[in-house]
Amino acid sequence: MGPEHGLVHGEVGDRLITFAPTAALDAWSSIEFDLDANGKRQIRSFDTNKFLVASARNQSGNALGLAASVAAVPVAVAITAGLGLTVVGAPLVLIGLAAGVAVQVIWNASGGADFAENQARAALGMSR
Amino acid sequence: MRPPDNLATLKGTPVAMAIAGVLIVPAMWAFLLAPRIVLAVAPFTGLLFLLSGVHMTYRSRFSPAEAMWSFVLALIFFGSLLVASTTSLVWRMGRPELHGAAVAVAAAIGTGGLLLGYLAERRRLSPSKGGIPVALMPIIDLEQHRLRPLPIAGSPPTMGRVAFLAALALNLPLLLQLNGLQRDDVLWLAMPVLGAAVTYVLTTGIGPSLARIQALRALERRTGQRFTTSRIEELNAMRRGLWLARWFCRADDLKAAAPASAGLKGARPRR
Repeated sequence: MGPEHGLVHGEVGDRLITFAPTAALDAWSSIEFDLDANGKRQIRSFDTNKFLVASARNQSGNALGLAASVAAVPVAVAITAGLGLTVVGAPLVLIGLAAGVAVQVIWNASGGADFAENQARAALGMSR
Repeated sequence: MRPPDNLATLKGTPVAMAIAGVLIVPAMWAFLLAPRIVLAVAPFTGLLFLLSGVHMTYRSRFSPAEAMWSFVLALIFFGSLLVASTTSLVWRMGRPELHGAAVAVAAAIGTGGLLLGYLAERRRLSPSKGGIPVALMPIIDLEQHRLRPLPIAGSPPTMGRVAFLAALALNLPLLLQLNGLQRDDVLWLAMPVLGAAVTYVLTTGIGPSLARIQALRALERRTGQRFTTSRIEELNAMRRGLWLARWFCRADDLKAAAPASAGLKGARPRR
């Protein structure tokens, strides 16, 4: 049931799907608007630093989760191979996915996101 | 006891095992334990898993004795996932007083599943002919003391598919957040699935494998001979092509079959 065509295919696509939705939201919240005389919104500026900080905060969890998901499956395969088994299919995929989600949640909850945000702020020379 | 069908996948095993030991296993305990305990444990589990991965790639003969070690690793890895599947829900509820109950539930489900699979397989192995369980006859080669792979059950999922689905799943928290729930509410969806999947693997795979390992080790003790996998020559040929083979492999594995496979593609002469 894997994707067949275009940008969603292959490694680039996986990264795109993992990171793009968060990036879109971060970009949206980094745009500053002015209201013109007719009450319509006009884009005033794009706050690059704000975008970078928000990305560091939100994408770090995505990256760790993806790493955990992708590593969990070969590990489960290797351990069960040592036991003389081939565990395959749905259970293995589900274990990989859920492990990634758990790592992402614990990273965000235990202050990992704050840490990444502070590192980004320090790197950009911004104050809190 | 059963090298992966595609031996080339063993090349990445040490890296994946190290990530599991440093990241996945400790993270699963973070719902229950204080961060500093988790961070203190991570280097040790990382090293343990890394060394196990290196052993599997470079030295393992996939013998029943090594399978016992894999069983311990399986308990650590799948046990951690099972503990996370219950403690994370208690953590999300914000009811730390229930953590004891959550661990007890995970332990009960885990041991129950293992025991069930173990006992069923033991019963299946009990009819024997000439001291060898009938059910194991197709995989045992007594003359060469080799173990043939069990009949194949399917093919492992490709990395691409896993990465694609993981990429989708990791956006669930964002989706929930946009719809008025909180990011962490994804746990309510993901963790019951994780618990069910791990219990399924423990019952249908890991419990029965313990019974088979026991039967094979009893046979080893009786015959006084160790079993190795029937694919050991292929395995060693693959190992000779590896980068770090000179340092990590057993010396006799590297040279023993060298004359026979000198003409094989990919076999490089060493010294």
